[in-house]
Amino acid sequence: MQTTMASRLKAMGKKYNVVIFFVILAIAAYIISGVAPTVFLQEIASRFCRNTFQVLALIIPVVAGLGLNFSIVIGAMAGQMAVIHTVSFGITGFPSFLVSILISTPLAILFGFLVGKVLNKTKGNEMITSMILGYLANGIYQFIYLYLIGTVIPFPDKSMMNDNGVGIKSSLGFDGTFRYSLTDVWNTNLSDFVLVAGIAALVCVAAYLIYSFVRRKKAGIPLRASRIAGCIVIAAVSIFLLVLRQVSFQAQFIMRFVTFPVSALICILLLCLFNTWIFRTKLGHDFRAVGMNQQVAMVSGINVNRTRIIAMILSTVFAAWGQIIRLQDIGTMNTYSAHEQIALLAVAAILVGGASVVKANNKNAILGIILFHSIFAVSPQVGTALFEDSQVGEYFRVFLAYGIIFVALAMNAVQQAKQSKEEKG
Amino acid sequence: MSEKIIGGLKRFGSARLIISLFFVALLVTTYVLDLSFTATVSDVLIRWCMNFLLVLAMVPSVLSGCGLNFASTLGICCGLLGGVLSIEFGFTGVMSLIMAAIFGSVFAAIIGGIYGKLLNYIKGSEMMIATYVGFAFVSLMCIVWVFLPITNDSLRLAMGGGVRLNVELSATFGELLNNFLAVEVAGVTIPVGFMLVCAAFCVVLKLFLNSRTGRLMQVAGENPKFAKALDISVNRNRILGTILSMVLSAIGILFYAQSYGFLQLYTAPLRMSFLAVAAVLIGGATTRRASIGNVVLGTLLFNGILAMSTPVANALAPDSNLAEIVRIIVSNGIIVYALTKIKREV
Amino acid sequence: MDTYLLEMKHITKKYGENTVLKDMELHVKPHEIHALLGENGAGKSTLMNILFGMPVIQESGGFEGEILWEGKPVQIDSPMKAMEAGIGMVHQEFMMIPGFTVAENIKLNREPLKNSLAGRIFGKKLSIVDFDQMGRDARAALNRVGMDIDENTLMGELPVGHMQFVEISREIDKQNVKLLVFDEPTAVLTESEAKGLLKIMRKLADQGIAIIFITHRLGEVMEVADHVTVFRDGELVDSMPIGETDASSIAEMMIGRKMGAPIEKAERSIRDEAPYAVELQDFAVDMPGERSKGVNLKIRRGEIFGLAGLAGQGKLSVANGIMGLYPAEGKLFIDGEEIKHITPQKILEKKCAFVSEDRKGTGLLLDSSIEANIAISAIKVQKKYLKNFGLFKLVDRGKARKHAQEMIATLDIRCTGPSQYTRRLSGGNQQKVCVARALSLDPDILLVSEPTRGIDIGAKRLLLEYLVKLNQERGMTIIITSSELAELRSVCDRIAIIYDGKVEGILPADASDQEYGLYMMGLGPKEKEGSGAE
Repeated sequence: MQTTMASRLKAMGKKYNVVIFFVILAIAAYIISGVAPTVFLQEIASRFCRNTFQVLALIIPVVAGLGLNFSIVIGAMAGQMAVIHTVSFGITGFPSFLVSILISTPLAILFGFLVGKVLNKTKGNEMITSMILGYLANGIYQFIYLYLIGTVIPFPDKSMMNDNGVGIKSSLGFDGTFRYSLTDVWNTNLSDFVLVAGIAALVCVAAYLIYSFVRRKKAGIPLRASRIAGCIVIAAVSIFLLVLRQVSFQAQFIMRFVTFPVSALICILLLCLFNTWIFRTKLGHDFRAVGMNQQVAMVSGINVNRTRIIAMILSTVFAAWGQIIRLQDIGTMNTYSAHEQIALLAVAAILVGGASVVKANNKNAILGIILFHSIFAVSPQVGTALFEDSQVGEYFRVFLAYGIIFVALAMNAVQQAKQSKEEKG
Repeated sequence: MSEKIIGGLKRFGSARLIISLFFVALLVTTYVLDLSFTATVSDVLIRWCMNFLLVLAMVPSVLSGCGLNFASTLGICCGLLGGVLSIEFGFTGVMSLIMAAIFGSVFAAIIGGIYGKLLNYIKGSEMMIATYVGFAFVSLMCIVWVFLPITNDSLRLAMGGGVRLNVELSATFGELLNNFLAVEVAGVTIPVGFMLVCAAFCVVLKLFLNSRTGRLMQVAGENPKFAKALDISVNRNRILGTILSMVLSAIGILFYAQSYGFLQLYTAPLRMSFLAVAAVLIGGATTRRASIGNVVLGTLLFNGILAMSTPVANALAPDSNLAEIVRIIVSNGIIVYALTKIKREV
Repeated sequence: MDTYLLEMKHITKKYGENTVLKDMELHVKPHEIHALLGENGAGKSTLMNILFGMPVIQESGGFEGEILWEGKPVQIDSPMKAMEAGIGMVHQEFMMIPGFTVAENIKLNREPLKNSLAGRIFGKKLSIVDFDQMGRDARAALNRVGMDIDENTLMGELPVGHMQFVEISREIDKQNVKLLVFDEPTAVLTESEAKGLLKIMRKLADQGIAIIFITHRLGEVMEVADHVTVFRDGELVDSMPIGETDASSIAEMMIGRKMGAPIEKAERSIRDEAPYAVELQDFAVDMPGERSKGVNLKIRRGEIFGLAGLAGQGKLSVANGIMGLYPAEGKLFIDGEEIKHITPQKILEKKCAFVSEDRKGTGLLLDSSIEANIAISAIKVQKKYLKNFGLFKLVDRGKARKHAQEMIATLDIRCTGPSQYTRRLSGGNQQKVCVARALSLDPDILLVSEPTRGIDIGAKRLLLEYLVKLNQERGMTIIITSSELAELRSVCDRIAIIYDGKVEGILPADASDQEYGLYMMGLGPKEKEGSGAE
């Protein structure tokens, strides 16, 4: 019994070695940085709500065998285009959020379709193609918004344009218009959020346990251990936070000063549910089949190319929506560079959460975002603390992002090379 | 006869044809709009030479079977390090360039060897990995630049430690090759010396490719199965090709820097490999084949377009970086085009 | 029981000028295991492609003749239609997804769906997959073939032998499957697994499913088939119930053919006293798809020796193993000297040269010139065609070109010149370049695999004549591996037949068709322990 326990722990360790490594790194970074807990929590909370949606957008292409979708930058551009035009129409508040979503969706569907078409022509090189397509699209985007706006395409809001009447300004502020159009719908502090969400989580866990217990008993199948373990973890975390909030005045004080955008969180939750749901549908099952073996999927009558294009469209649309959620919370936009780092950060985050080029799920995304951004948020301070130079921390975090992607790609490639070698004998 | 022309055009490729026409159109526009035609042509010639070796570095990599070297940034960083060390040690004039090239080549050979070994484990995914090896290495070098214990004042950051963002070269090897045997003909400056140096590199590479070692390397790159049947080590030849590519990149960036007048450090080299890749693709190379001819043509067309689009763009839309956008679209467009042409080996 | 399930009548199929099926007939009844026999290239796979409506048939101009399904004429012009009619195929290589469970594989793209709101609004793609039902369906199908594996196991964790049964389960799970085609199903199975499979085939036939059984193993045919149809060179030889024939006559029917005009060969003295050029002891080569499991051979110097056998039996691995291209076990002697740790370099240095069956892969540099191709072996192995400059050696293009021009003239290679890329040459001329490259090493022993595959008759004859000439003028030992028995019999002194990775026997060129047939189908007198047959 002990040996199985030990071997199980070992297997767990192997499965989560990337995650464990980054947990340690994150804790170390936090301690060294000496950042105040309020600041830290605020930083994580807002980064979480801004970025998670786009990280979740990466999951479907991975499962469908397209690898890490670096072309979510194209989705992000669709989001930015929608925001630019929505604001230029003078729409403000929550409607501006809705209109942006509405405008971005057809654009993103079109872009996703085109990207999917190209990726079907470059099978086996999807990732590099999606990356270069992102760069290419950036050129076209710049061309449109720097030159065609005001010369070929009419634009109503002169204040958003360069002084000579050609092109959009390189930096836009959305104060009083688009800013917080989603966040303000339901924004609370962390203390209240913990109270509500903690109790809600406990109720949900209890309801789920009772429901599945009854159903399983009827069918005569025992409950799966992993599900029970999951429930226990959620319940334990909720209870811990609730107790902490009640007992420790200091904790409550810290939490009170951290604002928490619940509405963005709900969007994230909905996308998580969507991802779970889609993989239980026929379409999701096709994603998995195509992702694992295109040849076999094709022989069994699945339209491989079409399935891949649908995966790209979904990913691009979510990336566009994610960019809108992000921008409304940040409130300013570098018109020509806001999208550039999107893919890098999202891909690095999901990899930190334990995903790979061929495997990714909601858990990887959520965990990855928290870990990656807790390191990212404090690394300048770590640089200052260790080398008296915040720039070093800056460089280090860029290195970390590139490095983690490189390691993940290399690990996958080594495995692939091994596999193809085995097949050839 | 017409069949021959059509066949020739087909081999030339539609993408290349479009780019060549664009090149000619720009040239004509420059002339017609009277945008200091001679100065522009001089600029085109200089850019042709300054980028030449960076593009030439793609040839050994492709021919040894490693594909387009998206990681040539590794070699570039090594070259920059060589340049910095050469200045740090106080070399000046021609000697500073030679020593920089020697230091850079040594680093590039070591890094190329290690990287080549890595490539042997990841056959089939070279391009994507190469890109991120390059990115990761550039960001790692950023940290190295900060901590490099430099004493020379022309290198040191005014405040704090580390190397400057841009190192001025006028005191050392700046414009050395640009001015070497430069001749002025009808207002156009022709960098004869620089051209000869580039040509010399071509000759040496050509000789290598025709040597026994070079031939065997090309066999390994063209057909690994065939190589195996003759007991030619595919892995060792891939490493050889990678090392050569890195060394050429290292020297290439020094040539580039002497023309430009600065060593650009930190994140400057990040996307440089893409430009070299784009140039050789425009010249007619593929992920499997590349020749010196592709390099000569590609470097001229690509950099010519970049050089000429600046004055033309300024004439059409003043105060703009239209030239930059042309660069982004042309370079990435040609790379995507090349990627769609790869036949999947199943 | 006289109604046929499937009747294919007067089927003729041409690929361009090349007639691959001529007036072919096939009649299959329900409850019947119908064995389809024929050498490689006899037309079996083309006939099956027609039956399945494979796109390759339509793309190459369709076929002549008619197909009756349950007595009615049908047009099967797509795999979908074949599936709808109830025709299933058990593939030779498994069409399975390792990361899916057994159940998911069995129900792939035919998943049972739940009736859900989203499904009703957006179509069946967004319906929820009913995994419980999927498991039950899979279980039922597995039960029908008598497999008790867990339907929730991942496919990748199953042993290879079980995959076949999952594949069969998938086919019979399809609604109203009436005809199942088994394409060499036992090729990858162990003996006991194969026995189990034959039992299941019988069981399925008893349930009323008709089975077309394509195999190279005559023993299995005799054991399980009800009816046998024999093809040869795209024509029907005969078709009869199994009771009316026996193994020997089937073997003769498969092989029997007119000998091609024999290649002129001077009478040679029997060379029994000549020393052995190549000797193999328990030589086993791990070449995927063509494994050999222990070959014993002794080949005399100056001999033209043939290696025959059906595809997949391992004949190709012998030459590849000798050349060091695939890992081999056992002993190899060349000119009496044992070669340990075989590498290509060692063998090439022993003056052996190889013309590979994988012409476009191992055989040629397609994007290099003819002269570069011909010279490269000698450049690598013997450092010929080089100018030495001390530190480095440059390729002497003049010398290489001169040699290439000589070879072009000798072998009559049709090209625009020695600098033409080999990719642009026809198959026959490419093969000649391969031979020229091997000869540039000036070998004592020449191994040639599938020398005439896919090349036209003129070139074929010229190549064979040239091989004989090399043998007679230079005393070269030549080992030819070929799927074309007639060709081997026209040039070889002796022919070894490889079956199931071993030498089934060695026959002189003039042995009877029946003998060759039986040996190739695994019914020859088994090689006796230890006696390296001569």
